[in-house]
Amino acid sequence: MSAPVRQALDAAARLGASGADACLVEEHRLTLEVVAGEVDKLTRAHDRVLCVRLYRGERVATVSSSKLSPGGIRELVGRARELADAAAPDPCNGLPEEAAPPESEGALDLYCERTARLEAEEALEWARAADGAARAADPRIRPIGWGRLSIRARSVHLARSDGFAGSYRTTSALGACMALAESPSEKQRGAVFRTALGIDGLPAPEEIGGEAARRAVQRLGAQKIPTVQAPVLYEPETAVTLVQHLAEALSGSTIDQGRSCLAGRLGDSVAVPDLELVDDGRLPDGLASRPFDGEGVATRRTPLIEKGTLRSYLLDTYTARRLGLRTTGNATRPLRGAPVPGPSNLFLEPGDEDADSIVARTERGLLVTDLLGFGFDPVTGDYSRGVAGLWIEGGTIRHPVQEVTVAGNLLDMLRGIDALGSDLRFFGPFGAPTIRFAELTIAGS
Amino acid sequence: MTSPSEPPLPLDRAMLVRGLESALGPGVDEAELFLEHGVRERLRLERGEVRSVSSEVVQGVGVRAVAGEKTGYAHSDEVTVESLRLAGGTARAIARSGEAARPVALGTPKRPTHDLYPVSVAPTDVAVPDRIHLLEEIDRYARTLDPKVERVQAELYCEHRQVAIVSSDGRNVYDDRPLLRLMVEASVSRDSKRRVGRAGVGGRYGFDVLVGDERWREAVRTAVQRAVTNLDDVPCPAGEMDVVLGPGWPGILLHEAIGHGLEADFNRRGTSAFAGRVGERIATELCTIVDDGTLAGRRGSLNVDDEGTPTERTVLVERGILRGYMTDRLNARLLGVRPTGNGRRESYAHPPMPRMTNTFLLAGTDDPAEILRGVRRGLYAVSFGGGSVDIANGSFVFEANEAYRIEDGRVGPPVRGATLIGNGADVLLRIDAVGHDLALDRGVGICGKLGQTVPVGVGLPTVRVRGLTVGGTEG
Repeated sequence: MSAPVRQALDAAARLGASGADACLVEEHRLTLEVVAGEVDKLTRAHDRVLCVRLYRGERVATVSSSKLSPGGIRELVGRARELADAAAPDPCNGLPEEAAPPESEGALDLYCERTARLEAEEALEWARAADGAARAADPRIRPIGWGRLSIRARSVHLARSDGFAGSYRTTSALGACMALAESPSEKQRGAVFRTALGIDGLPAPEEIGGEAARRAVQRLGAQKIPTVQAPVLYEPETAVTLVQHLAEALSGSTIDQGRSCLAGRLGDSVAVPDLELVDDGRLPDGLASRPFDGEGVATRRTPLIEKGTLRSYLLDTYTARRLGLRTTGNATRPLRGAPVPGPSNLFLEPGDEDADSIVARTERGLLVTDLLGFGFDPVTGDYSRGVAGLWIEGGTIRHPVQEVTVAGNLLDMLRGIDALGSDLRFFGPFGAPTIRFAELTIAGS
Repeated sequence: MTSPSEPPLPLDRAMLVRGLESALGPGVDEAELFLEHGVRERLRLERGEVRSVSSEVVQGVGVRAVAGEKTGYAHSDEVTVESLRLAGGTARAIARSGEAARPVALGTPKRPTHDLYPVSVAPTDVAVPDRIHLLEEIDRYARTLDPKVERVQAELYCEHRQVAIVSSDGRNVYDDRPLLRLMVEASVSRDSKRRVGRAGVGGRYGFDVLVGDERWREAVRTAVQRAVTNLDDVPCPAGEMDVVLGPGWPGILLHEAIGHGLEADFNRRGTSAFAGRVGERIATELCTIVDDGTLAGRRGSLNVDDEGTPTERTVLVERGILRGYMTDRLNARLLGVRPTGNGRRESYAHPPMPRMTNTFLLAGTDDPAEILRGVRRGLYAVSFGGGSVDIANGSFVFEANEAYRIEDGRVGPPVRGATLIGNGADVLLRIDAVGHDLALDRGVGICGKLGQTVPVGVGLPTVRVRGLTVGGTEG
């Protein structure tokens, strides 16, 4: 057990806590950004944060700090006890009943040594290659975009006063490129972000740079279109935003607080029968995979929507108790702050149809390639987002579109899906295939 | 009040000099240390009680080395000679060769010249039972306003941050920053229809003002009224139409339409739709838009920015003509202009960049009721959630959460929430009326840019925009 975690639990016990958990997260990050072939920004980060949740019977408080001297920890836990004593009791408070079993060796391989030790020179070469490829791809690409490589190495140590103790290490790499295309009358940007557990899992930087350039150039000449009700397609890159909206609507706290349009709908048919939404905390190569959740409960694969029927919410111990259900091992602990239920690796299972075939059999419609804003209200399910994309007519892409919105209601949208592609792709921990909605309102001129 | 075991910001001069020297390698023009100690606390009320309480201590140092256009940055949560040496070494790696750096000229520590937030008791030093009592009052008050109120949630966020900015070229300034933010959410239902209304209030002032001036009551009334109003909402129209924006928070229009587009980094690089356009008309004669970090007690205000530059009132647009950009030091230098005091960062763990403070349109002379009467068919929007912008092509959105149809110059039924989309390069050229009723938002704005959030303010008088696309469902 790490020393600060042990000291925190000991201090809690001495101060009369009825229970406690303590989590120490240590992170190293390196980011290198290149503009016009030259280093523009180099940043290195080192953070260590200790988060403690202290129970006084049915009262709880959460504190965090990076002052990890024995005195700093005593002060921190003292503050936790002071706050817990002021808080109102809640019978659903308390440590989890479950504890993740010890992890067998190599069961979940989340750490790449080479990535953790990446030097600035290698990051520079990578970022330069991405940026260079974007600029070489098309003469309309200006040398004012950027290429970026970021790596993060993280270790997590969690222990509870009931005896659970565990730790794990993860790495992640983010390779990105932003390309700016210019014509006499406009500028358009194309951005590509790719993530993997290690740098070897990323696509080649030239591929990322080339795609950023393609995405920027395809937007040149974008027009506003007249308001129309029409089919709307989302490519995987933009379809994952729908998965993120579902994560919010299915989070145990959104449900418990009466802020979700999906509350009270367990067992109901909420989507087309082909729709399968899965949360998997142990997905191989999943960016959010980990052996135990933010409270030390075992992670697992949880079908949330199965054959279109709502089967489960994303729950932690507190929200599970509040709803009379069992935790799904989805306690997410932010760097600082109390655990809340959240998604791990969350994705829609692919369908059978090739994405190109879906486009080819679209008589007319909008393929959404970029989104602006937030535009989703989990209380009502109302969906209204600024988008840019490509207009399809007779099965082929005709021209780019910008400055329009797509609107509907998520509950209707889930039942209005009429095509699911076979092209499931992940962006960070969220995954989706191409999706077509039979009809949404596109607002333009 | 507990007395901490270590001083909040160790400011030993010898250590600061050595820290700066570590970052001054060949080719490095300037080194800077940003030291921070902050406490952030959240209390949340739900189902009539405050069960959720949390407290975070954030402390660390950011070391920056600037070499021409390039920035090297490293941060650590430990403020020791050794951690500064390591961070400095990393930061200076941004420059591989060049002229030997000038020696450190450590300035004497100064307080800022103006004090925009003289608070006697920091928000995080207010007794927790007093804060809990306010939240419980909020719950009780909300329920007296309408029997349809079912659920009330409220969160009180208190922050006390102490920062010190020390540079190799003599800047050495210390600022003590309080911040309060109260958000209230009321849920109402009638038959089987449920609606939620949200409102907030906050700024850089004491808890005594929040309570004593009863500023909190307005937030509760607004949240309940918004929820009750929306019980009658009808589907929102879709398409291009005239839009009248109410005063205050709809100022987010400016923040998204031109605010980010006028941050100097995007213009120096040429990625903004407004790059190279100083002196050109980008709005009607009715529009004078400023960014002002010097307003007392405002959430978006600062005594000095996060590079130690005093904040200013910067005229961005004067009677429709673009006058200048918001700069940090690096971009000001590269553009050959004065820094405007807009160099901000989320924390010691982030390098600074140009950010907004309080951004608003100055009052005009039109009568708000007349402005509405001048619209035959359109939308009247008085409150928004968030917004966003693509600074390259200028497309921007902002999301209405309280809006009404305008029918023959009169305010009609409320409509369901919808996103409004426009283009920053032209939307301000469509403003044909500006009211005399300038208001700033109530102090809850959060701005995100390139992974960093900072608190901001926005403001607007009633304005009319001829032709904005409304993202409803009724085509």
